[in-house]
Amino acid sequence: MKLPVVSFLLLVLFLGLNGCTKEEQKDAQLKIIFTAHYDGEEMWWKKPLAYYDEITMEMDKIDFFLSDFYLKRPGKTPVKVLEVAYVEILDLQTNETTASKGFAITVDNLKEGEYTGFEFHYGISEDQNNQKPSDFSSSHPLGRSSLYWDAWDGYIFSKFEGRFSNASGITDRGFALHTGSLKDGSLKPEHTLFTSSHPLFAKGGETLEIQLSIDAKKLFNQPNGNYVDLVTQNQSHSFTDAPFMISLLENLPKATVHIAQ
Amino acid sequence: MRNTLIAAILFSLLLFLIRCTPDPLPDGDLLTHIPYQPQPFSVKTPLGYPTMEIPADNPMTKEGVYLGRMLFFDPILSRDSSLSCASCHRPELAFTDGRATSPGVDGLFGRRSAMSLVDIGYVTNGLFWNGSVKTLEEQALLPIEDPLEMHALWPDIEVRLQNHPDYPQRFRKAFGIEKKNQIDKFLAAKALAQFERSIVSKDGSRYDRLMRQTGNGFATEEEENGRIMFFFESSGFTGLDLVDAECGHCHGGVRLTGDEFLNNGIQPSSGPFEFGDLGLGEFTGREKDMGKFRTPTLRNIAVTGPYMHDGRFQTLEEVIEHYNSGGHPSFGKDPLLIPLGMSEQNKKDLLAFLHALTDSVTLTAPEYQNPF
Repeated sequence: MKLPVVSFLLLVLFLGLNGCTKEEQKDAQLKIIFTAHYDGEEMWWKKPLAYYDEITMEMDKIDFFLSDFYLKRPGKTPVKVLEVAYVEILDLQTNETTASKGFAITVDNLKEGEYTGFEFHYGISEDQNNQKPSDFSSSHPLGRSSLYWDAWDGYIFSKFEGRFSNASGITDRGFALHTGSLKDGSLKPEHTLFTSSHPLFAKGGETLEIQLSIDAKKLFNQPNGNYVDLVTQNQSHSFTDAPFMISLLENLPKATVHIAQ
Repeated sequence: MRNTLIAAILFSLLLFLIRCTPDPLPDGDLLTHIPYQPQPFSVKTPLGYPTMEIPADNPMTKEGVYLGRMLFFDPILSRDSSLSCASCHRPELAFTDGRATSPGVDGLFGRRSAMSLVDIGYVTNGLFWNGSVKTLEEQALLPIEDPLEMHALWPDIEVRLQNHPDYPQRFRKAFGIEKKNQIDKFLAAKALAQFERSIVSKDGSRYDRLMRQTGNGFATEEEENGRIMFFFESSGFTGLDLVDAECGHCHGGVRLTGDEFLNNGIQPSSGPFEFGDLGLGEFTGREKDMGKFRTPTLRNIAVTGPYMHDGRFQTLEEVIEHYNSGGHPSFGKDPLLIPLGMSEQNKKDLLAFLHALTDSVTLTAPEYQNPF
């Protein structure tokens, strides 16, 4: 009789102790979603778009590296949540139905808590650009040889590609505006910063979404106030294109809006 | 009475147990007497290449690679034992077969040209011209049952391999199986995949030896000019009558491919469903992917003709003419395809560079040849 009583007491004690153990805190998930718009309207892959002066265009690619994504914390140093990713917005935003789908990057194991904003760079840092695809596995974003330009000895930071037609008889001509680092000194790797001070809260076990929208038309703005003349500038991959590439890189954060939840 | 009942129950139980015990294998079907001591196989990474990703469930071993090599060259895998993998993937042609499309065991021709297998282990974004298969292990299963290729049935092939005088011990040494009847299609595919991953470039082309290893230019002006035009190195254009041939955008990097799926303007099409062959789109169903095909490596390109996914161009000269023209109007054509305005000398220069990509060391490497 004595033994069952002792066993019962031990069982109660065991259950009690387990009940008092603090529940393990769950991490949150971060989802960074990029969508593209054009002049404030929905856009998708190959949608006919009015450019300027009776020029129509369609876009095949709005691709770019983003790097060093930090979440800012009150009174603490920012926490880096993402080293590098390659974003291909129009790969998923392909028609009217998927126009608002965008491209999502998911980061697991985000600590629950308050954040005072975030920042990241378009393009990659000088250290990252000093590496080569062979330094990475072929499934890593920096391991993709299609994003490395041998002649520049560096990565392609962004690709804006599509086709255009104008009233002067040019029809369906391709354009491929790429940016990157020219290591001859004319264009050093200057990734461009986007920052937001909108407060965020990551709740354990839930997903925190950061939605960013890029207005594609603004990507073609030029410092002189005009849009890129696609007749004369439909490619950018020579050393002499360096100033033009800088302007395209600087347009990326300017064209980006954080859609606060 | 009670004892009789117990005896009857025990007897029934004994009979039941005897019936349920599988028939023991004849001693000859057991393989456990053969040592299983696989030796790791390391892929010798070519200069500047990334590390190859090897699946955790199929580590490369010397025994596995050799078994895969035997299976690759053995016609035992085809229905009538007339064709092997090597019938369409010949080492001396960079593992292509010199035909536009290849005949299967029934004399029927496939739709697409045999692709080069050199460096195939570095491809991680979908195999075949249309990217429809993710891994080499999955890929290796398919040609055996394809009616246009080997047109066999895996169960039949498995029996052939199990009853073969040599293969069971090879499977034992490679994968540690204990009985012959454990030889199945999945182990055969694993062995084939191991051999395919072992087929890597050996840096033996003139381009590798003169440019990539020493940093010196080519010996001939034609090859050097071709290289400059291929990669469009602006600094090399000073004072030269060269044009940007736009090749390096899609065929850049050490493997001379960006591994992308692209529409290179060979199929005229005014809409997504008007291609003769839908390519990647046939697999994904997405309009965006219609008419797109894998960008092949240009390593050994001079020996891998006819060219394109359907072998429509017999010579490299025809290929250069196509790209010089900017290609046909075609839905989703890559924007980098524009008329190039190359002179006849430009074309000769580019052709000379393409010939400098032939790696005879790889094409004749003893470890890639028929082991029989």
